[in-house]
Amino acid sequence: MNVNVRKVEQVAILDLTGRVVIGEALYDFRNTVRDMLNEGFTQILLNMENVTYLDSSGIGELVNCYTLVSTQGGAVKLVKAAEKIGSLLQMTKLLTVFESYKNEREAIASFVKS
Amino acid sequence: MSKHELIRMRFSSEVLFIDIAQEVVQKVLENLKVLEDEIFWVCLAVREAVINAVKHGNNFDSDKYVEFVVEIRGEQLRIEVMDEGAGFNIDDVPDPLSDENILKPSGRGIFYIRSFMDNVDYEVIQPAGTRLVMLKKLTIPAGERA
Repeated sequence: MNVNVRKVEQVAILDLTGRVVIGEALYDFRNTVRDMLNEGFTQILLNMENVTYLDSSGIGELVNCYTLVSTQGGAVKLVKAAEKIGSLLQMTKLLTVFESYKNEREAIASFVKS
Repeated sequence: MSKHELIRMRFSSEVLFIDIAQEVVQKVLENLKVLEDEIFWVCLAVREAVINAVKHGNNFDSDKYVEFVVEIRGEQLRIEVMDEGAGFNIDDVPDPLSDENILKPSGRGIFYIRSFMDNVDYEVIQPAGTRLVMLKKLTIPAGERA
């Protein structure tokens, strides 16, 4: 998995690419989230468009990210999750935790409102 | 006579072998022309089973091994995963759908395995370890059956 960061207004957009699965790359993701918080970005949008696979360890790291950011008064949302990835999150009720959007503009606008 | 295939693997408790075990099953199912969606979900269950063995069972101890068996008889898939860990009681595994567990970072693997396979059985084995056996009736289009 690779993580690329873009900053749009007050939102840090993390473009995740590849397989979000058990392994060292999950630590890179966690560190990137911490870096964003250290820079003062508490509104995090995870762009899932190029995520090709997700397992329970990857899901666990998304949950860690949510908890970490929430404790700092921020929010983590998802955009462009593929159907099967959405299904996995739905099955374990995580779409009640993560707001999920189909397009980036709508997702960014939702942070301003929240 | 229906098709019979058997693959046995034994590997140390490293993340690399989680990918390899998953890829083996994926190739077998692709070769059988199993429906694409079904391959995805079955392979996820396999992945979660091997993660549990490597991570929770053997605690990433590279001196401990995982036994992995894939067997096809006709349209029936049987997967066996054995670790050398301390074993656990399946009834003690928390429900990941309970409100108090939704934000826990782990504990979803067995739920996914049970969701995607037809039959799942855990057994503590001697002298140490857990054996997971899971079954799935595969959906193979009529024209593709051996």
